[in-house]
Amino acid sequence: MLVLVGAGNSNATTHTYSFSDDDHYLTQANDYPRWAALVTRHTAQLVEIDACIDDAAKCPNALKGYREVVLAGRTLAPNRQVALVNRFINSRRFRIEPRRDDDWRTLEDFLQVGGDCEDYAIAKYFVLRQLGFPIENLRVAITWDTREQDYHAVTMVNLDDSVLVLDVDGPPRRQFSNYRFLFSINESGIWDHNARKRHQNESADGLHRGAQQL
Amino acid sequence: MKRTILAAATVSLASLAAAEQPVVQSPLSGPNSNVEARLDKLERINVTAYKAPQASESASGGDAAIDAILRKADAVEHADPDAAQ
Repeated sequence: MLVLVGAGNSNATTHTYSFSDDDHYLTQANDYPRWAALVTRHTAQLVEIDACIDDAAKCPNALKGYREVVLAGRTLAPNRQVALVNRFINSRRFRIEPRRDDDWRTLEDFLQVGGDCEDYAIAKYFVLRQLGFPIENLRVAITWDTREQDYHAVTMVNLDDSVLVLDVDGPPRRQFSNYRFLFSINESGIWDHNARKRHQNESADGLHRGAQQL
Repeated sequence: MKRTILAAATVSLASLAAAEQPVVQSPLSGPNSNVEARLDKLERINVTAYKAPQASESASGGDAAIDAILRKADAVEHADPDAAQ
């Protein structure tokens, strides 16, 4: 669950999702310190992760299963890689964080101690990156779940021009009508899915004012 | 006098060259308060999950290869290192 102060306006969100919608682009990923720090920490931990992938003797216990998944996963087709990663991460320890201590965990930290919804989404993102998925086809999305009436985080995958959502409670799916997307983030950028709606509202306001002046 | 003119010309050329350099900067380095405000909204997200994960995916119809990979991963991760010695 995510708690977003001041959000939840049903008129300013969207149920659709597109990887090619440049209207929603907000800024580069490094401009968001929380995410930038997480990516920096993950990059540093990749040394240990890669060493583990190359040599099982160098794996800490928490990475041993991960190594099997990555090595075996490399031989699968992309759609089955997505299914594998989704199931593997969903089988990890679920751990609610106190709100005041909430953080966004790296893949290795998540594998060590578990995490909550955004940690599952981030972990799936980085496992798929390790399996060779390009940045432009992956994002972590922050949504409002209309069914649960709560904020939530999921992994978005662009696979063969079809958008998949990887959630904590089942297989990858193409139907996500219960989500209104708010923000997305990957290693290159941040997208604000309110942007177009806001722009449209501003344009409508301008037209309305213009019509009144006429 | 010549030195003064030469120095002034050098400064002018340097200014001209600098002006022609493309300015590549983050939106946050400029007065784009809208971006800052949106990032602030993102930052104020406080994450505490109550939606428990479910690893079982019987609805997917099953995939024997994936099942085998996950079983092996689980076995490797939870193997007792002392048992092999």
